[in-house]
Amino acid sequence: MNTSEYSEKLMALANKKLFGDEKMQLEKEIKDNPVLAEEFKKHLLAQELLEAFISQDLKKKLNAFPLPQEKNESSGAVIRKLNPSRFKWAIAASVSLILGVSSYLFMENKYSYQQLANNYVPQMEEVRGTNMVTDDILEKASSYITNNKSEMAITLLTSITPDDDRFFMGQLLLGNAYYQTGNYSAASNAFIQSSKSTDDEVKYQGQYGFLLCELKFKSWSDENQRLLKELSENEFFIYKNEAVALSQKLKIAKYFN
Amino acid sequence: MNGSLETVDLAAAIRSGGSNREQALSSLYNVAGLFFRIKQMVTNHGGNEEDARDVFHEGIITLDRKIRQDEYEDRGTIESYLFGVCRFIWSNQQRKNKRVELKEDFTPYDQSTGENPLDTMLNNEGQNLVTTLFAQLGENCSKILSLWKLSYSMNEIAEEMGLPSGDNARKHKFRCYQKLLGLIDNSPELALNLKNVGQ
Repeated sequence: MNTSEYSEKLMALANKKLFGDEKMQLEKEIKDNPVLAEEFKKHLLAQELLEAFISQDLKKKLNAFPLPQEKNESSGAVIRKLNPSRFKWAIAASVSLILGVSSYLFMENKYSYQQLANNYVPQMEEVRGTNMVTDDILEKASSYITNNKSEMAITLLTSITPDDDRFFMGQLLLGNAYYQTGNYSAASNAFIQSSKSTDDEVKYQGQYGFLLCELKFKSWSDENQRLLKELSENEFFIYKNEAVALSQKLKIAKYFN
Repeated sequence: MNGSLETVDLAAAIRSGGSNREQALSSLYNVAGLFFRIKQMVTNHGGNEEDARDVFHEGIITLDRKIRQDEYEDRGTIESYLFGVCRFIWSNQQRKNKRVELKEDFTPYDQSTGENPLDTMLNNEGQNLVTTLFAQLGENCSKILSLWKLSYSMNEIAEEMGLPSGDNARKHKFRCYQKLLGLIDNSPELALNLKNVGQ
């Protein structure tokens, strides 16, 4: 090959447009030839720069677009507007129940409901608030949960009374704390409480936490399945994708339980 | 905006490049309620409408790139995927802001986040470098190369650029690409980053 042909091939390889034997042959040559390898790095960088240029260009175009029209606000959004600080709390202190079930497809005898539930790793997001008394409790509690000091979080959270407007948020955290300690019965009760919240974010996460506890209890019912389906189809549920993934895994799991 | 493309076809249209990609991106941009959901997610987590708009745009740019580089898997809807990307972008942004505020030790590379030095250069500090480099390359060459990168056919490039034929466009593309390689050779900042490429 002459220099020009090499350059064309390197360009195609860097652009992921070289295939089959030609690709294998050139990759071998690059591996064996340090000079060619250096040249190829330049081509890779050229491709990255072109991508960066395309991204810049697309960004300019997008900035010139008018923002899409919003659809009608949900009832949750209206409630939040009426009570912004509570809304802020519900989200800022939200508990993430992160699902990681993909490994289950390839593991034997791991389809029990309890094992599926084990793949949920409760995590805390950063918390902030404006109500100095209850918000401080919530903030400290969430910090304790993050640091696996759930017992201390439980002590704090149980002091929030039902007349407090942060009660449901507190119950959501409490459910998470109990879940972390393995007390799924108490966790389930707390999640049920939080699912009564008028704040959709808290409500949906409470429902989701409740379903996790049900898996731990091996008491998966048609009603639970319906609830999970609702969550997995709910555009406003922040962990919709995880609910979809769980729903799919449960289709397989039912044959093992 | 053309709304004729079905959502399920969007990824395929973006992947095929050319004018299909532009049409698909426009359609995706205007999917009913999508921006609203992303705005809700961002504002619920300490951002404002402007942040939401930036995140939305960054999300579309990332999605476009991932699809074109075959890093996108067709699981679920493309809107859900974009929403997930935007959520990641926003939480990453918040982490970075927090890191700056706290002035904690700077961690140059975290493999778990998938960031690498080149990405950092291209996404942040290197934006001006990219602008300068492509200004040196010239408007025509920049356009020819980006159309080629976006999988436009040589005939389409010729038509777009007012060139007599596809063969002529191919020659222009080759010359422009060689010019770009020459600029890389002559740029000390980029030469430094060459060490990291492909590793």
